Amino acid sequence: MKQENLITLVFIVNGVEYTIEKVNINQPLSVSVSKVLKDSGNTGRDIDDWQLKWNDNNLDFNKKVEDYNLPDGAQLFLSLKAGIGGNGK
Amino acid sequence: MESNQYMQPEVTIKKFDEEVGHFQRLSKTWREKGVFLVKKEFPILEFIFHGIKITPSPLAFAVRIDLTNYDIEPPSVKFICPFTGKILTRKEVQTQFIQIRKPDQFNPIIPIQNQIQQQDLLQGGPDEVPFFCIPGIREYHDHPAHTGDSWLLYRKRGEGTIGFILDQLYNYSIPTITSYKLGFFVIGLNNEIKFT
Repeated sequence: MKQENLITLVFIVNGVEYTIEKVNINQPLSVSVSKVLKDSGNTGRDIDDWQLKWNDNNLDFNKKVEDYNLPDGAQLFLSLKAGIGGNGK
Repeated sequence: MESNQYMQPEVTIKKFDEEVGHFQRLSKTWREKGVFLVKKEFPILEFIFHGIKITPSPLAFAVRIDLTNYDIEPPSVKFICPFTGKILTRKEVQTQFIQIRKPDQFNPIIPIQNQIQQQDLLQGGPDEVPFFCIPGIREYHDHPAHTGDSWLLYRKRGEGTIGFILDQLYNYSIPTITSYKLGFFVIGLNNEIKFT
């Protein structure tokens, strides 16, 4: 039986899809982000090097899943923040 | 086209196919973002990006990604005319790729607008072939100003994959295209006003 406070989130990490099941909506997003980064082998960087977007809006890792009212199966884009750009630096 | 492939072609072809596979598995998602793969011919991939935030949705830009020697070298990204395939100069690419940098902490006595930096990630003079100025792009690492920032510091860390490149191109452009900018001239001629 599906528990009401557990949902599935689909992360697109640099263009590759990973599914995290049984995400507690009372958890901060950082818990799922850390898990998906581990599952995808992206462990060599600080979590702050990444940005999470849903429908092109930035999500704060420290907020709870339910704060954004994410639906079951929501597709979230987890992308590396662009490195230093411009001016030849 | 002359090939500069020095890496074993079988290796690059395998990695090329893997990258294409990742894109195709998410092709519905990319389509919803207005991103289409229009050419796949090893080692070249061409994509077009649409400004999906406005209606009618314009064709915002197109890129040619060259995976020659991938991934001992990062992909090359060139902006092209979507109709002819001609490589464009900076002034011919009508899209801006704005990176906004905010300080870790805002200083309350300095106006906020003076603390936020905006940079166009598409670098180059108006008549030059521009390059997308982030690590993971061949033209970035080949640039004389970036000799200290080797691709090998980034390889296998996420940068340089097709997903990464499409993400970055999309994130810094398409969400910011939210309106059309119309210009017109008013010409006064024999007491008659014409709009052109």
